[in-house]
Amino acid sequence: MPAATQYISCPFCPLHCDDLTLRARVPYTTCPRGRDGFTSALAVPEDAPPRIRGRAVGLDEALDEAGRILGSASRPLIAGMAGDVAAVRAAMDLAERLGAVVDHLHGDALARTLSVLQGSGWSTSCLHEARNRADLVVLVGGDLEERYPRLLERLLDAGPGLFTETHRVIVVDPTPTARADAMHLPCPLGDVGAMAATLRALLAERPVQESPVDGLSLDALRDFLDAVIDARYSVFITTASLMESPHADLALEALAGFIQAVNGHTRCTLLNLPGGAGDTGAWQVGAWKSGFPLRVDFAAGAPVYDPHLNGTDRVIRDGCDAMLWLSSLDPRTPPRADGVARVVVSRADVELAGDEAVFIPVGVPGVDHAGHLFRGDGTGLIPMRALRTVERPAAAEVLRGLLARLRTGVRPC
Amino acid sequence: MLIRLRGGRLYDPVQGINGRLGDVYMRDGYIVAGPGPDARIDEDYAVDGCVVMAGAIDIHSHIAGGNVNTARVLLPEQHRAHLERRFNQPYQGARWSTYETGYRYARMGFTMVVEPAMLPVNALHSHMEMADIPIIDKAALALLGNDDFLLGLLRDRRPQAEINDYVAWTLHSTQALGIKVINAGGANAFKSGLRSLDLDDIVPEYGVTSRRIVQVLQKAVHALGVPHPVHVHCNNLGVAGNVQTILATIEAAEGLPMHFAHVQFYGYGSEGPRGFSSGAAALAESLQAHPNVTADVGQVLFGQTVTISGDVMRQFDARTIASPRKWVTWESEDGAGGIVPYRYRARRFVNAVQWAVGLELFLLMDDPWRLFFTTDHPNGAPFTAYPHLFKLLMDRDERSAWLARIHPEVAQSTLLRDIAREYTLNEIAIMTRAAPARLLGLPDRGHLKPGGRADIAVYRDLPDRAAMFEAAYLVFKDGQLVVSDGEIVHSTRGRIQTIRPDYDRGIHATLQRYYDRFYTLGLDRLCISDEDMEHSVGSGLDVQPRREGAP
Repeated sequence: MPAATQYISCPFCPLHCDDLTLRARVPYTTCPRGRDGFTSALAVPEDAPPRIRGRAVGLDEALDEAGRILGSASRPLIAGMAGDVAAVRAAMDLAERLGAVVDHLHGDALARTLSVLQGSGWSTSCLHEARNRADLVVLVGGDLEERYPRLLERLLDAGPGLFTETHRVIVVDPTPTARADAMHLPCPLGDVGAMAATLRALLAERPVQESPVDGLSLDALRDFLDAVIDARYSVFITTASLMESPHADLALEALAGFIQAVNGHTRCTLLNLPGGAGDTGAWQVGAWKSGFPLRVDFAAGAPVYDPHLNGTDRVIRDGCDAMLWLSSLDPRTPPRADGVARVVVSRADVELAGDEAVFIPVGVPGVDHAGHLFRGDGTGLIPMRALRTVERPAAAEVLRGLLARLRTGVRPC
Repeated sequence: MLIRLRGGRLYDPVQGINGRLGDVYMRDGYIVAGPGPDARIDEDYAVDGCVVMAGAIDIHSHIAGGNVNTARVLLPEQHRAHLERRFNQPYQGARWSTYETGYRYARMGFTMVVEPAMLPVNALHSHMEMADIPIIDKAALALLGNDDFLLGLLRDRRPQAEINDYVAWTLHSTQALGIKVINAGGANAFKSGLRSLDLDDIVPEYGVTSRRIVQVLQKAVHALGVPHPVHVHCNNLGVAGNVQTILATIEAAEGLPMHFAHVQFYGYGSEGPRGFSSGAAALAESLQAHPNVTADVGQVLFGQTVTISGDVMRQFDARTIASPRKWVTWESEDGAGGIVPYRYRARRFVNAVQWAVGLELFLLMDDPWRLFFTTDHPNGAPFTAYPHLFKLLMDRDERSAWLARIHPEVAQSTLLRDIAREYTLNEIAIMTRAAPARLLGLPDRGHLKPGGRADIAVYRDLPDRAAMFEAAYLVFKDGQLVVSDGEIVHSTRGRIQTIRPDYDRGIHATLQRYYDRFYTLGLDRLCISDEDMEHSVGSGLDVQPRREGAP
């Protein structure tokens, strides 16, 4: 095997840049999101103990209690699912064993995105082709620099690709980008679907009377379409911001349909960047283990897939009595509701109310332990290295420990 | 622990055993010789009247990887769970999951399956999926031939030895058992805007022909002593008149070993009023006449399925016949592919021709050592339809009954009307056990000889061959009973089969420079170590020997 370079990969956004180096024992990156991610993860105290209702306990005692709560629940939920591939593999096994519902903390956006795949399909591409082949890259959806701070740098500043010297970049976004070499088309997020539908109508040479987008004239849309048709290979990169509004699936479906139609003329592809926190890995693992991309309910033994009924909020509202919250990547506070006993398997710096039944702090993949995360374009798994040695277990170890405690019981149903 | 299967009817073509009554002994996961009359038998199974064979091996079935997994998500309506209640194994009700794949194969007496299309950048994902396929052993063929590094070597007229090193590096770094090429150069050409690529067409940007790509990969695999010849998915899949393409590619093998995948999809002439006809006779004749080549059939069976392929040109072309009407193409590092759901209908002319072509090939080609039993799962039919296919091969009456149901013009013109041949159990044992092990270079399986892995299937000898092969009476994997009376009774973890030819490590520096310049991820991210396989993936590894007599 080639000698391993000393590069470090970043777990904090779905690009998972793997070209970071250590400076003074801290990963160096030009990316503010990565820098903040490493700084906060490394600041987590190394010795936070597990807790049962606020009382510090040993790991075994915490696992026993968590196993008891989950094993006796009548409607358990496994939510969050924000971990590396090993953690989500173990969490799926646990859900199957418990007869639980399983969902990701980006479950709403994920369900909207995948509903487009399930409704009509799509034609996708990846960062590699965007860098090496695309002569036109269109970025749609806003918050580009906050979501994926190094995306433009990796596309525009990496030098000539295999088949392109430079890319033309168009940013379709409510606000202009800081990059002077990118053209800006002002478009509110809520109008992306109407814009795509209009482009598709223009492509089919249907009569179009006016632009549906305020601030974007019909002539500007015609010019945009010409740019796409004149390109040899274009990639439309959508951001997670696009998928956060309730009817974003309609916008993405319109865009995906337009992109497929362009392939009657020239090459055109979609790259739908997700929100991160292990969401790509979670749906991939969910799909191979259960046949479905999360939002499955194992209560009947076989997985029942329902992307609406099996969302976290809905399950909590409809009477779940115990929740396992898994998040080794994102320190957000887990949802709470009366009557739901919570087992929190999360980063030690998660802010908790103190009334959690069990809290088991776990390491951050890529900081406290090694692991793998799917890159947001879906084709590659990026290895994460441990930056330090801590006592704290990886989430996968905790979940396997729970599974071992539940194996001794009888299977549900 | 010593296990005995007593009084079965044995079929082991490797030893020339064709239906002889006898006993088989297993100890510690391996088949052993009869231990003599005084030995203590720990477990004794009376299998009188049953058929005993080695575990079956499927050489070409798309069971794992990003393309398969996206297809699962694309089509939730095709595998909705029914409320079955008899679960004794994890995920047993999860249809089309990795788990169901293992259970269903094991139930039919299969103990190893080859995933034939592992994209190197997706290799770790593929291995993780395969690790979650229980019971059966797995192996993967790594995809080359649409990768810019190889095409760059060819454009720059680098020596064959350098290509050999790159191929060997690919086998090592992806933990693969062989190499497959899909429509050589076709994905690259599709990315550049072409819609078709013939054997002698030139791949844009590189100035090399599809023929050249296939030939250098063939030579590399052969020179490295990899037992399984380069596994070729030809150009022009599914196109009327494409039998000419495969006939030309068989000639292009130039006497060296080459395996042709799912040849049914290349068995088409362009005769008749509809310009679409069976070319099976010409193809079978060519296969017979070229002892250096092997082929698997890729039989079409009627019903709903989904086509999953790395042949993005073909899949893009098929978008207009998607049923249900939704389709996917994807393009990634060094490859591309597409997913098109489809329903094969007995009364549709084209589908009836496809069905007939596959069976004609099975029945015209009289060397079961060189023709393999596949449906190109799920492209021709899901592997779960195998029992029906066994019955079609072994039962002429079954074929005649189907001739009455298919499109009448096809029923009238197909050679099947006059072919009386019925496969024997010995031929089935060759085609699904002995020959696959030989083709893949797996001396530890495919037979019942002492020293072999105790992967054994025992079937009740039912006159209805579909019922017989649907659910084995007993299946042992590495000497452990995993299926009893058609039910999964124990779930084990299969192992990954790999091969590691030696090579000149000088290629690493060239690869490093290339990856640093063009790739969006580091070279070492693509290399799967043995430690990764054990700890991150969770699969055991077996390294299989190189071809005997290889340099």
